[in-house]
Amino acid sequence: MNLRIRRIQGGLVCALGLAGTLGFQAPVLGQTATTVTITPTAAGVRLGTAFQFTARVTGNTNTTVAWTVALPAGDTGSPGTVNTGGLYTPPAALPSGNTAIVTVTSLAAPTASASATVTLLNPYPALSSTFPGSVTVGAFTLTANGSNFVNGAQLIFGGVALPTTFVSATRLTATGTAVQSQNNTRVAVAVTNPAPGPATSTDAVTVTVGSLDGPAKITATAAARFLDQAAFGPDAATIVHVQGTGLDGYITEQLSAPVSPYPDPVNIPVNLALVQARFFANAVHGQDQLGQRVALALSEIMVASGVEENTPAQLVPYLQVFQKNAFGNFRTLMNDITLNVAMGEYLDMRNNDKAAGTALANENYARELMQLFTIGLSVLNPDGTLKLDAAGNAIPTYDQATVQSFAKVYTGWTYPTKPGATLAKHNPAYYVGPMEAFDANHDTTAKTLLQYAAPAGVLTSLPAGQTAAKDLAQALDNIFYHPNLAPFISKQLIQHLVTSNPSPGYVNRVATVFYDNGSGVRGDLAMVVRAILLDPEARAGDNGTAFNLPIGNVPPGGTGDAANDPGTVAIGTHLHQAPRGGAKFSTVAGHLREPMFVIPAILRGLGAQVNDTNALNSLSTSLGQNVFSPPSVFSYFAPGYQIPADFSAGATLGGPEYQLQSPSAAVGRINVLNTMIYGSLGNGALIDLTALTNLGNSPPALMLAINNAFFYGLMPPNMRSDILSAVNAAATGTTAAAAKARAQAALYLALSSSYYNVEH
Amino acid sequence: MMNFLRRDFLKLGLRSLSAIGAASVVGRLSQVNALAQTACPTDYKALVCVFMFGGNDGNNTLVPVSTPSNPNNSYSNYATIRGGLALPQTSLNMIGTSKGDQFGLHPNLVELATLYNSNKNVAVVANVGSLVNPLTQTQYLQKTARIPANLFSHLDQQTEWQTAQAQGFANTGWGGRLADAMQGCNTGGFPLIVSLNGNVLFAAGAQSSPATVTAGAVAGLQGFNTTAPSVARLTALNNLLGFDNGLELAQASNAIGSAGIHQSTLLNQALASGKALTTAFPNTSLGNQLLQVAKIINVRSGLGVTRQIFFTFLGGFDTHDKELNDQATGLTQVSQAMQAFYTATQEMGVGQNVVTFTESDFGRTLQPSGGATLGSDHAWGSHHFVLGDAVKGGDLYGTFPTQKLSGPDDATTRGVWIPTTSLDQYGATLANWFGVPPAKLATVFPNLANFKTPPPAFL
Repeated sequence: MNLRIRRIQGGLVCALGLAGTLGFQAPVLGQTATTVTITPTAAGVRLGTAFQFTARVTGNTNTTVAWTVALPAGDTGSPGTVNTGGLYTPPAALPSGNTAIVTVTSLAAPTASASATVTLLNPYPALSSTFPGSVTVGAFTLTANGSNFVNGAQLIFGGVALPTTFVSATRLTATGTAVQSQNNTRVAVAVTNPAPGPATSTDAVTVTVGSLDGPAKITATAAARFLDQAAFGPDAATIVHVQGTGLDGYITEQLSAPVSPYPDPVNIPVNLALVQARFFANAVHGQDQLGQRVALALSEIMVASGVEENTPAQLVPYLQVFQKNAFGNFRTLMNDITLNVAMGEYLDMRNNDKAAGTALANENYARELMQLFTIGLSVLNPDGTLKLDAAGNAIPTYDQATVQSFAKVYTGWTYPTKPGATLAKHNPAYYVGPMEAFDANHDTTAKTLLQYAAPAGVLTSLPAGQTAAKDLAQALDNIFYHPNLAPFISKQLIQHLVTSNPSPGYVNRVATVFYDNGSGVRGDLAMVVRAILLDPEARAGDNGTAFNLPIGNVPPGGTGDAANDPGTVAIGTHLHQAPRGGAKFSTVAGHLREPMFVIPAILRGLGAQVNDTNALNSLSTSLGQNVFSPPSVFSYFAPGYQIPADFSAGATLGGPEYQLQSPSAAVGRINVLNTMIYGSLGNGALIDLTALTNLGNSPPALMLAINNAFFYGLMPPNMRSDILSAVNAAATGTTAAAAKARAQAALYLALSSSYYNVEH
Repeated sequence: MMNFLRRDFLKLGLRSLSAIGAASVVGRLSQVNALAQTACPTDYKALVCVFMFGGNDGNNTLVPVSTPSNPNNSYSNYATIRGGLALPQTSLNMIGTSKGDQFGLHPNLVELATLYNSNKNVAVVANVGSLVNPLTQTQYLQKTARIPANLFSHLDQQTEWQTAQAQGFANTGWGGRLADAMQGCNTGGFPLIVSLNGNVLFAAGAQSSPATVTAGAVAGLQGFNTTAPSVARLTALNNLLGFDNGLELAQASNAIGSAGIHQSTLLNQALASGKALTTAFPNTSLGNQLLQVAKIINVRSGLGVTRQIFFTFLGGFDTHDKELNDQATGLTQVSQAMQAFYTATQEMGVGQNVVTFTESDFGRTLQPSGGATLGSDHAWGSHHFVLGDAVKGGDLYGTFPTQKLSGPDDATTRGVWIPTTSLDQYGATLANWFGVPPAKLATVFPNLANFKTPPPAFL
């Protein structure tokens, strides 16, 4: 009875609020004073892990309490937070004294309180992967990917703590040495966080030293050729590495490679020069070679050009969209690029008003997203060929009314709201974060979308009255599920990475993976890229037979191997007989190296050093490709570009990159080689010809080194003999100058050749 | 025969690169002698295309002010529909027509208006566009006649203006096919077409391809001299350009490289002996391109050419927003550069022999588009300029559309003009003046036969 009344009173207090102080300022006569206790009174709590405290109030009918947390006097940092239920959440970083005080106070009797001392500990680190996943015996550098890393964390390799650099809570880098006894084994790796509360990850992550399958899985030829497709060209160390990982292993490893950053736009000059320079530094030295290739390919499909988006603040977030999504899902990419501010400016989606007065919604983004970025103008078969109507004509994927309807979908979006400002119909220009919807400026009429047999749940029209965000999500789904998307994007990615003229079968095999990655997921770009690179059509040509040592491994003055030595009868015979082995290597395969890719490929092959403030973009611009600045939304070249009949023996020969390769541009490309080999790369980039000059007095060895570095060891013998004759005539004697002159002549001729410039 | 001719060209062209034997260059510099049996003209003629990339807004290029020939049009009607995109009437450069109409040219087309009014050597051709065949509004809306492929798409409409193949894909341009038909009359081995815009489809023929140049100095192969090592290296370079490795893409690269070396050699030889021009050109993209064209015309005899076609270009006309500002910038450049070029042709004594004409992807919607700053969207027919002393100028050719949304000339509801003069007709007038053999006209403009009305008689 008594108990019941108390409860009712308590309930009234809570409901009335005020009554708390009124009714319980003094204890009820005859009862003991209010006391509060906290359990436990001391706790060790790891960052990243919440901890539950409990409180008990005695001597008062009102048991409600308030929770607070603070640092001991004089300490600095954040104490963390505690909620109304006593759940304590530690701060992101340790405060100065590693201690926080959690206090609970009776609401009814504020003088009654209790405190607990929290000793804060570093979190348990979690290790998810390392990059690379395998190393060879000797010195190595590893990147550890995971979570909950703190400053002072160390990477443990086979029980040995390595000198480690803290990069972020999700990344460490460390250097170490693998010893011979570890060769061809898996070595366990872990991360240890330091005191307070030192803790080691328990994830089963290993690094393979050498190869578990004995010696190299693939030939150096195959590895080098692959690295022209999956990277910015081969270099000696990566060839050996890929021989150990195999192609599939290399791709897997690349999926978690640390992303090479662009400069933070906040603190750099307002022109694009440093962003463009970073492209070359990243291409030459970055570990995320495949991610960079895929991101660049996507950025040349979904174009917002630096010609107009000409400040780092605008362009860097745009480039980051592709970095983030290179191995992600295409649907996410569609969303992120649609709401990217630079794209919004470039194709007029930001501040696109709903129809008002004499003006209608802007059609620009609506048209180009479909025409260029996703599905194209004509209905395709899954193999990328045109679907034709009964009269043999192409079938349009949409009409003008569809474009106008999608234009309405994209109304109502504006710049992100600056911190401290209020969202408005037309926010002022601001580039941090995605565009934001101002729904009062969104066209809420019904909209007709692409008409096709859409899967369940995917709309082909939008009802009236929806928000900008909902219209956008459903409209992008409508495009994403259009059957054209898979062949349209797959074929272009093949063209960027492998060959200008893929067979319909090749496109079909990749598109099949785009439709479904094998786990029911559509648009999984990591699996699409894997399918592209491992397809038999991409791999045809890997089995050239002669490959030897990369640059630097040939002893100075040595003659290379007998098979390639002109002094022996075996000169290039196996090359000559079967440069492509038994593979079905198409005569229209390969593709012209994009001008801006020529430079890093050469620099990688020569082991050049490039820093972040290089001037290489001036060379690329003179090749016709100002980095990140295509002349229009149609990019640098069209995927369907065909080489003029006059240059292709009258045949119909596709070659997108050839749109840039005019006769005068071809001369310009040769002249850039002259600059690179005989001139200077400008500040911030240096080619060191010492290794080749050391071979300069032995022209056959020189040729062998160049063959291995740039031709996968497959340079045809008659090409080799043509170059060799010029090399022999380049200088007399054995002075250093003569040796260098021979090395330069050999490089100039080899690298300006069509056989090199057409990657195949 | 052909090989012999080609070899002669090469000998001439490569004399300065002494290391190269004529036979060592294998680029397909196929100058097919299509006119070998025909008498070649002895005079000189050149066509110069100025392509405005992005789709120049014809509605603000040529504004109806007082048009008795079509009372539906008027400045006030234009101003009402265009709203904030309308140009003030007082800012227009007024021009009259033989029908008694008054139009205003864009405020920044000062020079072209003067040439139109005073020199009578500028013609305006109204509502030109891509068509496969004549098309009425009913036929378009009911799809009862052939409609050009992929209307309103930049790339496709640029392509159709360049190929004169509005039904869709073609891998040669009308300039290239015109060159195929006339190439044999040039004797120096230098291509008939010169592109200032690289591998532009306009200039690709079935048997010919353009020389490509950029504004400024013509870059030849650099880093060679007459020393023995240099000669040996150049020999090897040429051997490699002749190297057949079985890869078709590499063969194409070889052919293009050979052509580039050949062209730059010929051009630099000829330019070295050219007399300097005194005409001042504006230092703009188009100004510098047309200056380069003038310099090449100036050495036409050294190049052995009697017929030339040039392709120049200017971007920035895709005015979805900021149109009032951006179109003014573009048209200023066009007007000033074309005037300077015209003056240079007079200086060279070829004012009667050179015709300059404009092209663009398409016109733009009469109805503006929303946004913080107004613009307009992709449309269809538009108005173009032809300049030269041979032009019957000071008049408007073709039919100006009725400026009414959903009106008789509108393909949609936004003021998208169905062209009343096809690109083929426009081009045929240019090609006929150029001297294309009548039998070849149909290969240059295969769709021309679909149009029964004669081409506009501005030449």
